[in-house]
Amino acid sequence: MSKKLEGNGLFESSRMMLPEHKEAFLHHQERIIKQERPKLDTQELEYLSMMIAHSMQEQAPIVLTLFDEIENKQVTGTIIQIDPARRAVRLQQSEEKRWIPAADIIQASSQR
Amino acid sequence: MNKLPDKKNRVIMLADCQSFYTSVEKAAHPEYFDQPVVVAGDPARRSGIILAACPLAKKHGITTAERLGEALGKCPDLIVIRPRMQEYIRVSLEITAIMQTYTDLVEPYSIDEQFLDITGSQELFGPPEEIARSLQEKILKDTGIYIRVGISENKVLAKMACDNYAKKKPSGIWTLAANDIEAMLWPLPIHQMFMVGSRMTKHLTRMGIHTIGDLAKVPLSRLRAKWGVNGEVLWMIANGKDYSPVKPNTHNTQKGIGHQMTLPYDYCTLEEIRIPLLELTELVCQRTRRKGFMGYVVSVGCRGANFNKSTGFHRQKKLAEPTNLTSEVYQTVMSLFTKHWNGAPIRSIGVSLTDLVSDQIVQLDLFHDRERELALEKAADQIKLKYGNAAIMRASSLQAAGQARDRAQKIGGHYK
Repeated sequence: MSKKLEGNGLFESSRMMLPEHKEAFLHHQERIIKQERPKLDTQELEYLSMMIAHSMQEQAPIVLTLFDEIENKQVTGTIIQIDPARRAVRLQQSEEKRWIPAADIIQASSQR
Repeated sequence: MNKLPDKKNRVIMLADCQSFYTSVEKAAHPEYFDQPVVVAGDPARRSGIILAACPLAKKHGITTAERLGEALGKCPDLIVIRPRMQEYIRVSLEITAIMQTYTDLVEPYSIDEQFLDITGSQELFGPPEEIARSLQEKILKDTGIYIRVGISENKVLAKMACDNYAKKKPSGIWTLAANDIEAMLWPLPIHQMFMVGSRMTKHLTRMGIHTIGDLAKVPLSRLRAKWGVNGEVLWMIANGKDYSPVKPNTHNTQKGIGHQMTLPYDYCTLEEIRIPLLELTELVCQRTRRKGFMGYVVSVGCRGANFNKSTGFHRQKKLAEPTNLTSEVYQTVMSLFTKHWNGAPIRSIGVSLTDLVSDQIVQLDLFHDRERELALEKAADQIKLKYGNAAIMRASSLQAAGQARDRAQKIGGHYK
């Protein structure tokens, strides 16, 4: 009642939003709100290097979680090359090979 | 055309969709393009009124909120379409998404009105009216919806620019500069002001206030003394002053979870009314559980059947422990209801749960197995989530007074 003169109060008290519309809008917003890149500590980085090295040496499949502002992505394959100069690793997927910037890797595991 | 003053001012738009529901239907049914179309609720029920009429139907004298029967009398060839609320919500969000390609500051105000702050978008997309035209074209092309745009430097003025000018101009776009309000806004009759409804119009007319300008010139202290904050709000609007931000996250604040419903006929006995009250309570608790909350405050309200003499009440009670259990909330709902209901026929009821807290912290109860009850209710929630709200319901809902089956097919009282 008395909040009409503060902030967005006038419009928050007078709008006509169906609860279902409001929920759908919140859901829509969630998808476009950009997330921040997580900061990995030395232990986590060490673990990532270890998993990547392991995948390359043993030709073991690895699942990498890649950072994305909207939604993180997962890729599966085997590491076939590590290039410290370009700070990237090469992933062999079933059909194709692709370079992945090391900075995008935020998680690694041996299975999904 | 008017220009907006210096650059440090904000540029705010209100975009309104013309005859939104019927426009969505016309886009979906191109064959109705040149025919009069209305969207109307179920004719068998009280909601059998016109929800929206296209401009062609309006030419026949059909107005929103009139009875379907009357409308058919005026225009026997009328195309009548049942509402599809879910689709209207989808299209509304599609429009939001298009607007978001021009600015991230988009705030839906209702299903067919959205505010935009394009202050920072002008360097990329050009002057305000060019942005408005571009939005209008893009939205029409992608969704079939024609928008009208009011432009000014705050939300209140943008809204009034849209309602009083943009909607009446062939271009559908109007800029109301703040320093033009004396000429553009003040001569308008008072009922055309934002936030002035029919009751307020009566009060103001009785005070000798007939135009927005009359109101703007009333000393603020007089309005404040008469209506407090609401008086001050009116004075600010009349003077075109408004500092509200366009706030996309405005809908995030979940203060509570509530539902209300209009009953198909007037309920007169406690035996009848307790059934929809339980159904609403269940719906409220179901949503509260799904979102991972519990609430401290239970409120219940009802409105009488007689529109001339407003009867009804709205009461709330704070619980000792927060809950999201249907049985616990229902107990409080019923005790509030029996205490405050005077027995007059009831047209609509509402239940809500507020003062929400996370459900991760639970008070253990020695004498009452809440865990077990919660598990049961959550299992029912899962079934409903998967198969719809009509998949499983309480036996009481099968009685004549029950509304759950009907409600499961609807959004906002209209068909999904």
